[in-house]
Amino acid sequence: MDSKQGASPVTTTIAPVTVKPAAPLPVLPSLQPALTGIDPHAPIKLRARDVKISYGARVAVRDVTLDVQEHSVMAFIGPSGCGKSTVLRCFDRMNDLIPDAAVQGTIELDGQDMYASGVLPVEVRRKVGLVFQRPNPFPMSIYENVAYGPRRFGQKDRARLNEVVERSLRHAALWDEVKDDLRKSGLALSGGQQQRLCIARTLATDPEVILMDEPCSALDPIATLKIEELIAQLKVDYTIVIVTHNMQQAARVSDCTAFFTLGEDRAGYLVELDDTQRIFTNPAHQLTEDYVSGRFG
Amino acid sequence: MTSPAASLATTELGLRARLDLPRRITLLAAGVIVAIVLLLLVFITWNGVQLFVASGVPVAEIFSPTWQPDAGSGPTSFGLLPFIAGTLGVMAVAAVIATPLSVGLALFMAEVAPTWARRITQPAMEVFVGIPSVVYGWLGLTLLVPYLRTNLQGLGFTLGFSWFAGSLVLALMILPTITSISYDAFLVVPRDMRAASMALGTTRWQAIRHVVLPAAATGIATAVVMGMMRAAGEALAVQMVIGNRPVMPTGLTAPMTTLTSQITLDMGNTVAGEPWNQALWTMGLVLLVISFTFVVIVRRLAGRRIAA
Amino acid sequence: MKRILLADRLATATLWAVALFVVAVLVAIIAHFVLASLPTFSLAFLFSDPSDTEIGGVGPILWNSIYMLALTMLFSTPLGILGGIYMAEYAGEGRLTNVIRFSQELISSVPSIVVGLFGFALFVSATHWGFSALGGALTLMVFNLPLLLRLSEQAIRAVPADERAASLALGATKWQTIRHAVLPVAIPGIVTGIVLTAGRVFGEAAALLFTAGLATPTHYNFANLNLFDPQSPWSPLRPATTLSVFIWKSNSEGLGNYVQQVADMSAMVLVVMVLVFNLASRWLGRALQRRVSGL
Ligand SMILES: Nc1ncnc2c1ncn2[C@@H]1O[C@H](COP(=O)(O)OP(=O)(O)OP(=O)(O)O)[C@@H](O)[C@H]1O
Ligand SMILES: [Mg+2]
Repeated sequence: MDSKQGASPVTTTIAPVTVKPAAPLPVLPSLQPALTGIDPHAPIKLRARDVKISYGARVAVRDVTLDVQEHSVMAFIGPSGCGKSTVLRCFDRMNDLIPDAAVQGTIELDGQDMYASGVLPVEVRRKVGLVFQRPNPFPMSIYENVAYGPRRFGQKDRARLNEVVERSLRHAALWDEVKDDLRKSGLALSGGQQQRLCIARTLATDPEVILMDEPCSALDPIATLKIEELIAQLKVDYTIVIVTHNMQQAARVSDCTAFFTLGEDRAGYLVELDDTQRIFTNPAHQLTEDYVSGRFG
Repeated sequence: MTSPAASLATTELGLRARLDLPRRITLLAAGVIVAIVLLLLVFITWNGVQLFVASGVPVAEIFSPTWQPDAGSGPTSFGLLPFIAGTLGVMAVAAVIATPLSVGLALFMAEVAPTWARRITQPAMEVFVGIPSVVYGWLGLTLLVPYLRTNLQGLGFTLGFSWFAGSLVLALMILPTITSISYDAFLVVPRDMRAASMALGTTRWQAIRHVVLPAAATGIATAVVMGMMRAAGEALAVQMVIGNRPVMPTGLTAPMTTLTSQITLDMGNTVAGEPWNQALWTMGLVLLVISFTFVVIVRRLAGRRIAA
Repeated sequence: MKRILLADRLATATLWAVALFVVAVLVAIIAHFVLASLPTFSLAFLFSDPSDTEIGGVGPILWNSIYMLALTMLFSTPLGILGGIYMAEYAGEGRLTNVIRFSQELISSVPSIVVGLFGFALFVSATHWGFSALGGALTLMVFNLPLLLRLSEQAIRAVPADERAASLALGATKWQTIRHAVLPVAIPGIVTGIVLTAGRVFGEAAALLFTAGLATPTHYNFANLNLFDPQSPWSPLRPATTLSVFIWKSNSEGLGNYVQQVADMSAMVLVVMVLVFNLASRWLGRALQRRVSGL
């Protein structure tokens, strides 16, 4: 029994083979140049300081200090189990739903501590949207999926709802594919369409930050490309943090990249955070270099 | 599957038969169930129609509200309407009482309860199911009925024995049934549906109310139907508290009767072959029809769930 | 916003209240019987003969319950397990399987009083046995069997496929595989199922009114081993009032004269037995599981 439990993280390490551990260097030149040149004086949307998150007695991730600038895309990369999803969930206070999860340090949204005692998780989650790894539309029609958030916030006006639904679906690049079929079940869509529906559902709640946890890992390459294009467009209006196991994807869509890894103590930590281009071409740490060049496990 | 590949095919018939023997024997055992159902259908139907066939009572008569089975005291009338109405009435009110409690408890167990609380409610449900129906009946007879009679007489409970008492006892009995089936229905709703809703900024209750409950609706409906099925068929507990007055139900506070109660009471006092006794079998047949109707409804619901 | 949050709090509080209420009702029921019986209960109650003039005991009645339970399980256990093996191992997706499944569903839905009528027609009238323990046990088998069959099937299905594959790969026949590789692993689940259904059988009354009879036995002489003597406690062809039936009977007898006290205590015995069956099934299942996986 013990040996089994010990073994399972190892197997999950191997499982997500989205990264092609091909020859190390030839990969890099083929990458599109990362979208750099964001304004260094742009305001900080999300700020994390010395964040440490534990599940019960076990520390999952520690020493996370980072800033996400407004209207930028930050990618989280790193080996499985290093706490990328855990950190991401913290930005949305979704860890509150896990009974034994505890967060230390400070996380600020627009300069306000989102874990301060007066702050309601519900408020935070309205400002910060989360897109899950597996597309998970509600078992309802496409329309109802998108209208779900606004309805819950008290929007009853039919015309307004129609407008929000159309705008969100357009924004999620799904409108043209579903506009004649809004009554169809969201579950009847293809995987890629479902994921865009989930993004549309999030956009409809009018968030400021969108968190995406491996949004393409369950999708085929074409659907993945669509989502990546979408991210580039969404950046104009939103601030985005995306977890990915796909180096090329990180390079293609993000401005900054944060590299996490597992420490000796089996807790994850933030190794390095920099311009995406620098992380992939000239990282400061050997660990980062090993990882992005595919030399890591 | 056990037969060897063609090239190795044994020609020895005896061996094949011997290899097939276990399948046949176990099939026979499983087939006993089918035999029992067929026998039961035949016996109940045969005895149930004797009232019409042997005693010549017109079928339409059972839909009369008048139950006067005793030939010794005037012209007979075998109206089963009071019993059918009683069974359905007592069942419906029981479902109305039990459903909110059961679904609430199931929701609590599936969505709200911390582990320590679930460790109490789960075994509690099992014990609840296990308590025999006579015990519930006895409880109703010795506690509920006297309570209604002495403390709530003002509300009209002159005797205590009443529709309400029957429904309350039944509600207690079907509560674990509805709870456990709807609990299963909630568990089937994927975990990340709730997370998806809450990540959009809804409260837990909104996630439950607008995602979990609709997704589990068919399962809850199944649970309630199963509960009603059990309520309709329950005999002794109801018989002990309902007052057994063979008239159309008049109100929640008044005594009435059900199919099961009447069978329970009269079976021992009647002689095989007389119309009164035959009418009891007809009641049994009606009960059978009612429960099979529920089975069909449950099957329909299950079909809907698979389609969804 | 305020309203939404308030609704959430209110709903959560309501769900807690419902759970608390239901558990409290259960505790109250059990407490009621314990408190009601405590003043007069003694172990002698379980063993002595019933009496009209004092509280007496339920010895012979309790014996009948146990005797009927044993008889019922004797018939239904082998059938249930064998049938479960068929449904789990041999039954395909055919018409026959559907018929068996539908029968299972139908029979589980039949009200116990109707099962009682059926038992009366078949085992009391048609056989000319009159009211008998045997007839009662066969009647109980009617709703015990489908449940047992389902539970055995589930337990057998839960055995991992590797267990079968390993045995078949060694050249064992299908039956040898079931017998030596599958059943030993499934036994804990099956035993749990048997004990659970036993609890139900123990509490059943409606189906027994017209099959095993209502006459309260006065005294049993356990030295009388003549199976054909209706006076012998060992005879299957004698009327056998069980504890549950006995409680029901108390309701028609007027509540004076110790009747209520005796019935309260009997109800407590019944409830305690059910609790014991419940705990035993969990405990047995877990203990057997440990032994099976330890081997
Ligand atoms: N709900 C939970 N309860 C307890 N431990 C958890 C929970 N979720 C995650 N963990 C643990 O926290 C650590 C970090 O997990 P996390 O899911 O954040 O990693 P990740 O970097 O997202 O991995 P992956 O790339 O596989 O998604 C892991 O060791 C994991 O076992
Ligand atoms: Mg992750």
